[in-house]
Amino acid sequence: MPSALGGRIDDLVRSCFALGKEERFEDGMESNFSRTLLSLLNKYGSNFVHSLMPLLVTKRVNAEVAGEALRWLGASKHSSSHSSRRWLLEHLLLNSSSPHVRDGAILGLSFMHDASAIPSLKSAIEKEPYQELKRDIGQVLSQLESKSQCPSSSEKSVR
Amino acid sequence: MPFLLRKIRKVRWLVEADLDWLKEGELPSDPLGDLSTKDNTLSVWHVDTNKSNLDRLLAALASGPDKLSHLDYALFDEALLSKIGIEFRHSPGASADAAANTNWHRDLVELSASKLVELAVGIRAEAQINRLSAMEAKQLVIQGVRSNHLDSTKLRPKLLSEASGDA
Amino acid sequence: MPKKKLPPISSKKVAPAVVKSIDEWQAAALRFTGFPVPSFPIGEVDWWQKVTGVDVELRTSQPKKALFQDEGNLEGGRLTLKLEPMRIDWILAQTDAQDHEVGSDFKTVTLFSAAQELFLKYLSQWFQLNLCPPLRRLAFGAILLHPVSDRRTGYERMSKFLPAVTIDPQGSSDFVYQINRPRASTLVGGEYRINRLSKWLVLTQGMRGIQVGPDFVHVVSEDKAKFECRLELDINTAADFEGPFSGEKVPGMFDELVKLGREIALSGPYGARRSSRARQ
Repeated sequence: MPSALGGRIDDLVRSCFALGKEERFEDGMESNFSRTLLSLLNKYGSNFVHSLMPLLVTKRVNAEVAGEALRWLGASKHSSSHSSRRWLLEHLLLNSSSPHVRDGAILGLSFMHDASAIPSLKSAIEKEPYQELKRDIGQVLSQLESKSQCPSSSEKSVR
Repeated sequence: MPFLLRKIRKVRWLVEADLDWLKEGELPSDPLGDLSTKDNTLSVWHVDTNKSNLDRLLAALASGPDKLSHLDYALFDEALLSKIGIEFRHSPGASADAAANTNWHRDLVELSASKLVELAVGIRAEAQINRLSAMEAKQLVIQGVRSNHLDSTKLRPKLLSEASGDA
Repeated sequence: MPKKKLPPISSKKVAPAVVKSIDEWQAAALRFTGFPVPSFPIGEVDWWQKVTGVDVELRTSQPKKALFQDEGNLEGGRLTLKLEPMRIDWILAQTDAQDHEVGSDFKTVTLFSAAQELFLKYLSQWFQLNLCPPLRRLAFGAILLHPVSDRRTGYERMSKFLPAVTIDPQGSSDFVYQINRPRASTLVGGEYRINRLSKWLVLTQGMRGIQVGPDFVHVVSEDKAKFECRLELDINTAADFEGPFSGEKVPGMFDELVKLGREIALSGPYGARRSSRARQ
């Protein structure tokens, strides 16, 4: 990604998350934050997801806002970013120390209906310290195992 | 004893092991975000002792948002209210299920801040906190529309369209 | 949905090579790219030092961006390890001061074979130390150069690699040709596809000295323009098959990618389908 574009997206990501910090979230309800997030995703695709990653991976945003972002990232039908969104959700499910973030990742993966996430979910359920989240992971696992769906992505170049 | 139902965000109610500033027995403040009052009143739903109306109420709650999603909820014993000294009264609800609005909606009234905190502590200690997956929620909404419990004209367009996909 | 089985490679014949030796190409850079599985934790690693046995010359950490880079000069090349979310890159590239045996003024590491040998030596160490994490995709990249006397000669040379394309070597400029010729892997039962991307162009390089004043610009010196044929390779496992590939499987898979890259460098992207036009 050209650095000028990357810099611009980084600024937009930061503004978006600053917006989220001021809002009250409710499940299934859109917000200014979710609308902005999805609009950026639709415009910048995987470049936007790549800009999000360091922010979420290095815990530089409010955990509840991060969790909310992951739900909406999972619910999005933006096809070309499917693979990078799924990687991000799986990575945070397996590596984040915040239950808010892991919960957001679980929900995001449940909305993606992608059976490729099954191995990560199986690993996550082993290491999850909260029983409540373990149950939720189990719920998603059952859902995916009973209904295998694998959307494909098409990325040819890895320059 | 009957139960009371309140929609929540489940993850707020997880007590974080790494909150080393939290004294033992204390609740962090995030759960209060799910007990937001208006005019010192909190909206809840009455669930029969045998939970026969639970699915119908969950359908009503699941049909409220902009789009179909999972639904986290807390189900607690009505007796918790008398322990804390909280009064409640029947009042009309605002869901897409008219009968549920008439028969099962309650307002917890005259809520002081301290009673609210006690309620939160009681819910954390005693309530069943569950999650209905998005798929389960969808099935309940579809069922609710088909059985005419839910007035489809009161559903938001995106949610109705998602539910109609399989209806 | 059941996966469609990819057809096996229909012919084992390899086309006659356009060049006699792979070392007609110089390697400006060679790259290994691995896309780790989601369980891979992001952070600084000590791989560079462990693989080379020497201290890192330059470490760049940008924790806020989750970017980490270690690099240093080794045996005539500069080895770089870059880590970022979703990606691991090992790159062997030019060093600042390099004597080249082919008589070229271009900055390159060395001839392809020697560069490959050096690169694989370090990668093998990384594999043998079990430091390579499970990957969901991997790629071999290369920038290869062949100096030529002028643009026309460059286009004539390129035509031999690209029989499917008619290039007017005298009357053309700014030609760039990129193509992907996917192929089923010979490993893992042909279950996944390999993208074989190649990009072909002739680059012009020149240096000018200019003097700039308040109301003038003068060209005071000008080097003779230099030309090179440039081939950029990106040989990668297709995105729709995400492994994971264990650390043990990766060396064999990477060997296959390098082999496919060499084939293109020797015979062009069409390999067995060279037309008679190329012989004219």
